[in-house]
Formats: sequence, C-alpha cells, structure tokens
Amino acid sequence: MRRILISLVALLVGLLVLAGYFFPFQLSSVLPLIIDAALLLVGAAGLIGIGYLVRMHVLRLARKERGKFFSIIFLIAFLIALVAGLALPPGNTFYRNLILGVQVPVEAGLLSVLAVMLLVASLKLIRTRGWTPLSIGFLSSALLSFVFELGFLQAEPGTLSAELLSFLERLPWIGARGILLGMALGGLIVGLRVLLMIDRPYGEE
Amino acid sequence: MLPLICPECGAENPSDLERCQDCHALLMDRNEEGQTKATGDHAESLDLLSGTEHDLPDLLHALRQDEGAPHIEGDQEDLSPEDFVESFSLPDIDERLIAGGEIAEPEVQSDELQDEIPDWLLRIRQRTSEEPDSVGEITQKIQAAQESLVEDERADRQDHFSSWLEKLGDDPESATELAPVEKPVIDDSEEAQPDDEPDWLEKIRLAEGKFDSDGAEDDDENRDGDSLLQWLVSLEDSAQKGPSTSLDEDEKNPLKEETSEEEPGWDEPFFAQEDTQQIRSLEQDASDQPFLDVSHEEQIQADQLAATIGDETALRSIKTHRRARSSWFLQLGLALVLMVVLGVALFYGAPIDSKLSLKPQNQALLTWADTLPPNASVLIFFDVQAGYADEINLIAQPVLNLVLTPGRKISLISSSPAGVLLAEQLFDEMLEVEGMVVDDLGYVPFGMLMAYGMASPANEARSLLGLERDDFDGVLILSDNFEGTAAWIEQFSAKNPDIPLNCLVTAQAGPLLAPYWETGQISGLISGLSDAQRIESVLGESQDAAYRWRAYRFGILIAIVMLVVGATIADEGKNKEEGQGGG
Repeated sequence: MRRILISLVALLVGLLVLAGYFFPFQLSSVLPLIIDAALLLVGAAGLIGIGYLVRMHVLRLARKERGKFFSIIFLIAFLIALVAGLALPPGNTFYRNLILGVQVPVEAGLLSVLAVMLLVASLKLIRTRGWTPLSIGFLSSALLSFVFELGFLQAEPGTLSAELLSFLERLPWIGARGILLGMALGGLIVGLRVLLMIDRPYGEE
Repeated sequence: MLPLICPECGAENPSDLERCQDCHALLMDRNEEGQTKATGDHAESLDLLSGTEHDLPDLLHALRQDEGAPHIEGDQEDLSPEDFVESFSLPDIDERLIAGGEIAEPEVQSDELQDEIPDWLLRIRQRTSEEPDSVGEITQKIQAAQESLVEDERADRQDHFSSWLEKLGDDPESATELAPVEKPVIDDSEEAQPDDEPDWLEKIRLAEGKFDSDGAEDDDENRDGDSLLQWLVSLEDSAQKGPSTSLDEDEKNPLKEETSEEEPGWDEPFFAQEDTQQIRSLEQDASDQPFLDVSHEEQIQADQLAATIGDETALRSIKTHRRARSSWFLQLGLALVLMVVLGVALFYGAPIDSKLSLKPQNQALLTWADTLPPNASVLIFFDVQAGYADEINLIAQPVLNLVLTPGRKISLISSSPAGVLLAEQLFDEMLEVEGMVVDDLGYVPFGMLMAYGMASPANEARSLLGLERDDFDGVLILSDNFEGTAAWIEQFSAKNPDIPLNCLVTAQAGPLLAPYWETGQISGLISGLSDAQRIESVLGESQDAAYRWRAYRFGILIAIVMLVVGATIADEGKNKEEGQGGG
C-alpha cells in the first residue's frame, strides 16, 4: 500500500510538471505550490543531513572511536559557525571573513590537488595502455587546449591562419555538443522510465 | 545328500560318484559347490570357500569322498570350511608340496606328535606318498598353465595376467574358476626351492604384504603362510576385497571420477621397451573397465603436461621492482624550487599586455551589458563554490562594473551554501556607489528547481520568492559548474526566449556551454581567466586579471612540459615492464 501510494504521488507530480510545459497558464496556480513544497523538502533534507553528521561525530566521540580528534574539530567549528550565524546579522563582515577565510583556501587547495591528480592520471593512461589511438587523441587534445589557452598563437582577422586557428579552438565544442546530445537523450529516457514507473528512484524496491 | 550336478553337461549324479554318468567329467568341484550352496546360513564364509575349495588339493576331495575316511569327530566335525582347509595346510605337508611336487613321508618328530596325528591324516600322508599324482588338481593346472606360458608371447602373457587380475577384482567367483588356468606358471625348479622363488611371486607377495622385501626369516608361522594353498586363499581374499589400493583411494575420493593406473609389470624394462602399454581406466561406477592404448610418445607428452602443470603450481619468489626512492632531502629540495619559481611567477614581474582580440561570445556579452537600459532590472544567479571564488571574481568584475550602475534594480539569488557570502564579498566594493539597489533573495537549495520556478508563469499569490519572470530585462549567471548553468539555460531560456541570458563561468565549464551560445540559447558567454584577461585588456579598467594571467600561463607551461616529458617517461617505463615481463 505504501509503495503504491508513493508511486501514485510521484506519477501525479511528474505528470503535472510535464503538463506545465504545455498548459502553463492553466496550471499557474498548481505549479508554484509544487515548487514550494519541493524547496521545503530539499531544505528539510539538508537539515536532516546536518543533524545526522553531527550525531555521527558525537557518537564517535562518545564511543572513543578512531578519528575522534577530527570529530572534536568538526564539532567545535560547527558550533562556532552555528552560533555566529544565529547571533550575527546577515552580511556581517566578521562572519563572512570567518567562513570564507577557511573555506576558500581549503577548497582551492583541493582543486589544486585535483589538477595534479588529473595530470598524473593522464600519464598513467600512457603507462597502462601505451600509445593507442585513444591515448594519442587524449594527449594531443590536452596539449592543443593548453597551447591555445596560452594565447601565444594569434593571427590577423580575416586571414586563412585566423580561420584555421578559430577552427582548432572550436574543435572541442564538437565533442561538447555530442556530450550534450547524449545527456539530453539520456535525460529523456530516464524521465520516461520514471513516469512509466519502470524506474522508481523515489522508493525502495 | 544332494545330487551332484555335472559342471560340463549339467546332468544330476548321485552324490557318491566321482565322475559324471553321462560325460564322465570330474564332479569334485561342483560337488563342493553344491554343498556350499546348500548351506545358506554360512553364505559369507561359503563365498570365500567357493574360491578356496577350488584350489583344494585332491587330498581333500578324496578325503571327503573316501568311504574309508575316518569319521570326523569332536571339534573337527563343526569345523568351518576355512578351518577345514587350514587343517590341511600343515607345515610339513605344505613344505613337501612346495619342495618336490610330491609329498614325502612325514618324519616322525616324536612319539607324542605321532600320537596326536589322527588316523585319517596318516592315511592321507600314506596315500600321497604312494601316488605321485595325489597332489591333485593344483599341480595339474600349474603344469597346464606352465605350458601356456611358454607358448604365449610376453605381451600376451601380460594381457592374460592383467585380465586375470581384473576379473579377480570384478567377479571373485568367476575369477576363482579362471584363476588356476591363467595363473602364472611356476617352474618345477622354482617350486622345488622355496628360497629361490620367481620374481612374480615375490612381487605379488610384496603387494599382498605377506613378507618383507628383504626376505624375512621363515619361521614356522611364516612357513604356514608360505604354503601355496594359503597363498592362493589369501590372494583370492584380497581379490574379493579389491584389485588394488588405488581403487580404494578412488572410492574414498568421490571427486576423482576417473583415474588411470598402470599395470604393475613383471619387470620394468619390459614396459620401457614397449611402444604401447595398456592403462586401465578405473571409473567409480563402471563395471567393465576399459583399456586405454597409450603410445610411448603419448606417454612422454602426458609426462610433459604433468610437469608443466606441476611447474605452474610451483612456488616462486615474486620479483618486486623496487624503484630507487629518492631521499627526502631531494624531494624537499624539488618542492622548494617549485614553490619559489611559482611564487616568483605569481608575485613578481610586470603584467602581460595582451593583444588578443575578443571572442564573439565575449563581445556579445559586453554588448548586452552596454545596451542595458538605465532602469533595467537584472537577476544575478550566483552558483559558485568557494574554491572558484577568485577566478569568478576576476571574470565577473569587468562585466559587473558595466551592469551595476545606479538606477538599475539588481536581484541576487544564490544556489550554493557559500554563494551568499561570496556574492556579498564580490559586490561589497561595488555597492558603495550611491543609488545602487540590490535585492538579496538569499539561498535557494535546488538551483534547477529555481530555474523551473522562475520560468513558469505564476499568479501574484503564488509567485516564487515574489518574483515574476516579466520583472527582469536580463539574467546573469555566475557559475562554476556546467550542470546548474545548463539547467538554467534549458528551463529558463526555453520558456522565455525574449529575456537575454548571459553566463560568466569558470574555465572548465566554458567548453560545454559554448554550444548553447552557438544555438542562440544564451546571449553571451565569458569563461575562464583567459577571456577575463581579454576583456580587461579591451576595457582597460584594471590589471588584476593581467597579473593572474601571468601566473596562470606559467602554470600551463609547466603542465605542458610535465605532460610531454611524463608521457615519454611513462612510455619507456611501460616498455621496460613489458621487457621484464617477457612480453
């Protein structure tokens, strides 16, 4: 019964949203209601996630499990951010610098590591597969993108070299267009499967 | 008494006859067999006896049918057939059977011993001494087998022995009938000298476990076991138990469905010289065991295969390729050099004066910003993570300087948790201009849903965040991910193609969003530090992007060098590994 109810709700909402594309003005009073409910649910899910994360670290600390030191750091940082966010008004410079002063360098450092890892992974591709058409194409594409990004190659507008350079710079767009077409077709298929209740990502099997 | 059935013609004969009335065949064997069948309460022992009695000497048959035989009294009357047989395998009689083929007069050891011997046994001894052929059927069959052995070739002899052993294993009763015929022949000389026995008898005894290989001492008990009669009985006992130990092992191991066992040879060189040899394939449930003809070449190949399999499963030491680890001092030195070089490239040197021209999508966005009405309403959607904050600030600042002018209505909404703070940080300096109005709508948790809600028409009572799609003259998206921006483009611009949509995105999202500009779904696009530096160069406002562009280009050069050198080294490393691996 529960499964049937969930399926019916999902089907009804999906059909309403789909109908909103064809009858936008007739459903103008219903669609904002659905959107508000969805935003509320997403926000509640975020709060539940935060609560679960805090509970996990509290339990780890209580049970004296491994990594409790990091749990202590997390709980202290969380409490500071929570108290400061509730106490200070929005747009407070101290609070903004407090949060961004930690978050920006940490995330930037992670992205730097990610860049190095991608570079090493591209070299691993050569080491594992050797010089295959795939690896040659990958490496040449990466090199060409880097070279064009440098901006050393320039040509007078209207010349043949400028046209050739423009073509090479737009060459990655061809691949991007293929990716977008594939994603669109995949999204269409997934949407149809959900509407036809073949896939049920909203409930258990 | 039961009638005797002739083994040859099947006619019934009185029990007191030795030969058949019709065909004059000897009735002894069947007589005993008939008696065996008649005694059903001793079935198991009689099965054994059926094999043993077949080899009983004529002395025993004559004793049983002799009218003058003494009446067995006392304990001997209740003797089982086995005990009865053993009673005839006295050491002295057996020794004479083996010694000369005829039984000599037993020597009187002492008077007491002479008194203990019953009369019937004395008569047996007397008769055997008088009649040289009284050793009976055993001797006759041995002689017949000896003749057949001489006539047969060595290979045929091996086949006969193999089939004889096989039948012993399969059907003990039939084997007992055939065993004396195909039994290996014992020469008179070998039979006369117990110490100088033939090789095959030695091997069989060794297989039966009767004697040690070094020829154990023959005491009286061993002499009893050494008697030909007991040997045959024990041989048949073992045959009833099973032909070989390998078969027992097969029965113990049900997973082993089929095994091949090589017949034990009379002499090993014999098999070595043969081109082919017969291997009996023992199946677990098979009643008839087929023979496999294996040539010498096939045997060699099988040995090679077995050696290969054994070699594959053999334990080997794994060669570990240990790379020479550079010392931590060297690693630290390289890291310091890199940091210094990057630091110098970042913080020193003049900014690069770019002479690059604007891309069409860049020019389109600048044109949109320049042509905005003075009282235009612009929605800025901020979807940026903290790690991309610096890059997006450099990209957006020249454009925002054009858009954020007094008199315009600016609405700001964010879909990333840190987006609100990042947007405040970005607009902080710009908002110092008097007359600027910015409506901060805060954080919306799901950007795609927000795009759908903004694109959908709504009445005044149910408008999303109090906004109407007709309220904006343009939308500016600041994003660092392709998915969120694409959702906005697909949802908003598809439903509101009249409202221009412009994107300021980071470098990694630009290539995937460029097709949307080509199709006209977005009005303008600026992606990455490269485009920001071009716009800054064209507008000539500041040189922040030019300074960063210097370091950025240096980083790209390092990446190119690492990619080329690393690919070369990696390919050499792969070739080395293949060479070491034997590939």
